[in-house]
Amino acid sequence: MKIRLETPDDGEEDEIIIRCRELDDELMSLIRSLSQRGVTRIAGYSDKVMKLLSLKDICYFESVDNRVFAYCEKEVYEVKEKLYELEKRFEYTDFQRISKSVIVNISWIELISPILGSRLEAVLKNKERVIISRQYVPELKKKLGIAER
Amino acid sequence: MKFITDLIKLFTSVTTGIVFVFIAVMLIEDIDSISTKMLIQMPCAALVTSLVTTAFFCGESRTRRGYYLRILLHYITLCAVMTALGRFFGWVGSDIKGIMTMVISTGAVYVFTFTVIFISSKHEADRLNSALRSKYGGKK
Repeated sequence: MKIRLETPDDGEEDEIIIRCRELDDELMSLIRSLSQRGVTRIAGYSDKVMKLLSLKDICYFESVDNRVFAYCEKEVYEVKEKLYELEKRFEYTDFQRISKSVIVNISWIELISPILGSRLEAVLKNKERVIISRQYVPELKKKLGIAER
Repeated sequence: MKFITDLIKLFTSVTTGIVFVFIAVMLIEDIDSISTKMLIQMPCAALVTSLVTTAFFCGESRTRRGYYLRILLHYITLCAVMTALGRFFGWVGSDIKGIMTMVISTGAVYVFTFTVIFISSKHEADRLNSALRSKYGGKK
């Protein structure tokens, strides 16, 4: 696939034009990914104060007793969306579901290590640890570009 | 499908572990031969323990502590199941020696199986870390 960069004329908006004969899955995935690039913030609530959280600052989302929390490096905020809504919304970003209750920001993972009993554990850059369930490993591999054996 | 493949992998590891433990017991107790019934009984015991294990770990633990507590409960349950099976198959008596033999044997099979699974998970973790390193860089 050829990539061509052009400088727009003065007064023209930046835009991305895709020229293709056929919209295949790969191209559709690219389009979805590009369209989600604009989503960079989410509302987080702490003591009834709302703060716009930058996605890159969120380590993971966790669902606890039907409430969803966004864990940043040191702070925790409640978010109004359900976990499955966040999963759908950030499908083409660095966020990935790793268990029934956790969606992790892959870019925050420092290391993945095995723990007793066939499970994996992600150690995040802020030294927090989250368990990766076996059933979500294939999706994680897919996101990281590893083919399932 | 994943449930079936995981169960088969577990069953294979547990059966191998049980065979190794039986060989060890035969060497220690100086036993020359075993009954042909045991060739059926051993896979049966492996299947029962594999099903119990799969049922135990189908749910998720939120924390590490919860997860290790589940492993402890799992081991206790397996000891009870294996002691009952050992008694049923006539491998051991119902005295304290029989119970201790089954508890130790279950522990040995447990360690063997978990080591095999840990090695396999380590390999998987290495692949994931390598992919993370290529995608995001940094020390992984």
